[in-house]
Amino acid sequence: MKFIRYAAFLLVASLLGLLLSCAARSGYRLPVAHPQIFELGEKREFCTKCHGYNKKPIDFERYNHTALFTESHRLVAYQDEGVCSICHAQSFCNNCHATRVELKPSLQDETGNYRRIQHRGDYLARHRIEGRIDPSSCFRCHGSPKSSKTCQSCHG
Amino acid sequence: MPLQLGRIAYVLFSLGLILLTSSVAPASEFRVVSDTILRTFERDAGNGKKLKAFPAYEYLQLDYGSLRDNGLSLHAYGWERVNLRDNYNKDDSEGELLYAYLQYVPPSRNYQVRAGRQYIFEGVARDSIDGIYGKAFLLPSVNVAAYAGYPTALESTDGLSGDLIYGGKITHSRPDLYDVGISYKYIANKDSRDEETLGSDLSVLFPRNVSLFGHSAYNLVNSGWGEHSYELRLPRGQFEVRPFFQHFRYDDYFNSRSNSANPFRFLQGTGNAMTVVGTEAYYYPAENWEFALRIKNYDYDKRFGTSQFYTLLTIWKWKILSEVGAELGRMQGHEAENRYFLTRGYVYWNLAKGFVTSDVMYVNYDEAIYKKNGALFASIGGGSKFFNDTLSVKLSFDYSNDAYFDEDFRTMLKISYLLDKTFTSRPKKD
Ligand code: HEC
Ligand code: HEC
Ligand code: HEC
Ligand code: HEC
Ligand code: HEC
Repeated sequence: MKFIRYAAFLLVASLLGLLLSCAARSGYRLPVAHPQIFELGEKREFCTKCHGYNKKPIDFERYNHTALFTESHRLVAYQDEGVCSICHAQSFCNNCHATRVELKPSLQDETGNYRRIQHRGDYLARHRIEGRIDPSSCFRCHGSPKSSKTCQSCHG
Repeated sequence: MPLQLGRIAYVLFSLGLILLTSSVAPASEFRVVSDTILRTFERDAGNGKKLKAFPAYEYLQLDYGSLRDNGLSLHAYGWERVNLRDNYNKDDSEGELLYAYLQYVPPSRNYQVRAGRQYIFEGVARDSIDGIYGKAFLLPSVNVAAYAGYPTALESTDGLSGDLIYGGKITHSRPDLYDVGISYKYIANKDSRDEETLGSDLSVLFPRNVSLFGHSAYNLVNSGWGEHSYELRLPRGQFEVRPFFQHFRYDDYFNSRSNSANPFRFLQGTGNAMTVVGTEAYYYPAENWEFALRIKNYDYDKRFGTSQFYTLLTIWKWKILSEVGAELGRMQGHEAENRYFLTRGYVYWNLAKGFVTSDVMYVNYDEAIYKKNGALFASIGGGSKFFNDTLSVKLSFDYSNDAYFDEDFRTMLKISYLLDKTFTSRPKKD
């Protein structure tokens, strides 16, 4: 049913057009890019270190990159990924979230060991246990035909 | 094949478009981020003999246009592997275009549009699409995002015809009080409905910097809630506690249709449900010390008994970019086959002209896997930057002795090249 697809496309496109034409002029808008600062170059820094505990224009404390941020950024990212994109290009997220990157993130960046990255070490053995205990997190990243290519040799 | 050509044509077309318009754009920039990785290791040839493998990878990111401010810009990222010696992974495709899209943000920043291959993170959407995406700020406190296109994950499943993904999110936010969002996603493969999900996102700020975050997802194909995840954050000076609750119903969370994958297909239909209750806790005794603890308790309706997972992590920074970290973990599965101990220690030492790193990780399984209880991984590495930091060379060696690798050494050389010394939208990776 090609028709439905085109209808949906048209619908979304016209909706967008409509939205754009009446977009409001007031309210806070995020910058396209965060200013480049030396301390922010390579390592995670708490936002509150520079921005304080201000709740406006955004709640800076919410975005503090804690030591376990890799496991716990999802609820924050669901809220507004736009905040992440002022500092991170999609390629940064793609290291760990990709349809297919082949090299696991901890190998792709082997010397970046200060980063908290899933699947360090002997993951082939350990994944059985983590996969049995909580498959919900795996499914988010490996739950499609493409993102499970790496798994096919053993899981069919 | 026509698809690839189409994509190349699209990228060229966009580049042309930008070149045409860039003369009027205030600041155009060209940025290339290239990571070339050479690895060597031995692999089993299957007949008891070991073959040397020597794959070379290239991860390339290109950005062009107005990268720091509103305007038009093009962004692309992909990777490619070439085998310099044996035929490691021979029958896999040897590369992937992860994204290639054109973006426009007007001077008012009242909306944003993107066209091309891109990754969408909007509530229940965490998918790669070939299509269009737009986000607009309507009222001062309402924004709407919408997208439509082909789901890239289904590219090679029954061809492209009849594949479709679309959806969106509407968010209402009062920056110092709350955000609420409702999102929707529809995916079809060959005209048949694969996924249809409705999701809600919530954040609420209470007095004393206490906040609540939540996400729920409703499966419209099966008519059932698949997921509820809620987290409370309670900061108190040097301490912070973050209790959380998660509930997953496998029949509604997992999927056994074409947009799913084998390791997970069997989970739908098991009627199982999992409830996770736990907490993260942080302690910051000084600016250069971090302590983090995470405890999780898993409860199932079926199959497994109650299990726990503990992680303790300490990080000490003695200079702004130099740190040591130690981690202890215990997976306490109800069944012996689901238990292990994990220990890890690492150091990253930043020197005037480069850096040195080392990592050691040891996992002990209560029940041996392929006759091995222990798994040791160790790596050392170092690197240096040249030409005003535009070129960096990193070399690392690692050693594995576990169920899958028997005293194996691997070498890795990574050469990163950056054209454009400014990193605004992408923090330098090391
Ligand atoms: C090293 C200091 C530093 C850190 C750490 C830092 N920022 Fe910033 N940020 C700045 C500076 C400087 C500016 C530009 C001046 C301004 O607008 O306050 C800025 C601007 C911003 C803006 C635009 C503010 C506006 O008024 O439009 C946002 C949003 C922002 N930062 C978010 C974050 C988030 C989120 C984090 C944590 C992940 C973070 N920053 C971490 C220094 C920092
Ligand atoms: C002010 C800039 C800024 C913002 C905004 C920001 N980050 Fe980061 N983030 C950084 C820097 C700098 C690093 C360290 C770079 C690295 O690890 O290579 C980092 C690291 C990370 C890491 C790796 C964590 C680790 O242990 O090293 C993740 C995951 C991440 N960010 C996700 C996000 C998400 C998700 C968002 C949006 C909710 C976000 N970031 C917003 C600057 C930012
Ligand atoms: C260092 C690896 C890493 C990086 C980099 C990273 N993430 Fe994640 N992300 C994870 C992990 C691991 C999870 C799963 C956490 C869990 O178990 O729930 C996750 C989960 C998520 C989820 C929920 C996933 C889903 O399908 O529901 C979103 C959304 C997300 N990340 C967004 C981002 C964004 C946006 C960026 C880039 C700014 C980013 N992440 C960068 C590791 C990473
Ligand atoms: C944030 C996304 C993310 C999450 C969450 C995630 N993975 Fe992965 N995983 C990856 C990426 C990226 C790779 C690299 C290979 C690829 O592209 O498929 C990978 C690789 C793997 C590998 C191959 C490892 C190797 O040594 O070759 C296994 C096995 C695996 N994951 C299992 C799991 C299991 C089990 C879970 C859940 C406990 C999980 N993954 C959760 C992103 C993720
Ligand atoms: C080298 C072979 C191999 C690879 C590659 C592999 N797995 Fe597995 N996986 C196994 C084995 C063996 C088991 C244990 C099966 C059992 O207990 O019956 C397992 C178990 C699992 C389980 C738990 C299943 C259950 O019983 O609940 C999940 C989930 C899983 N794998 C996900 C993945 C994902 C996702 C990938 C790819 C990113 C992957 N696996 C790649 C061999 C592999």
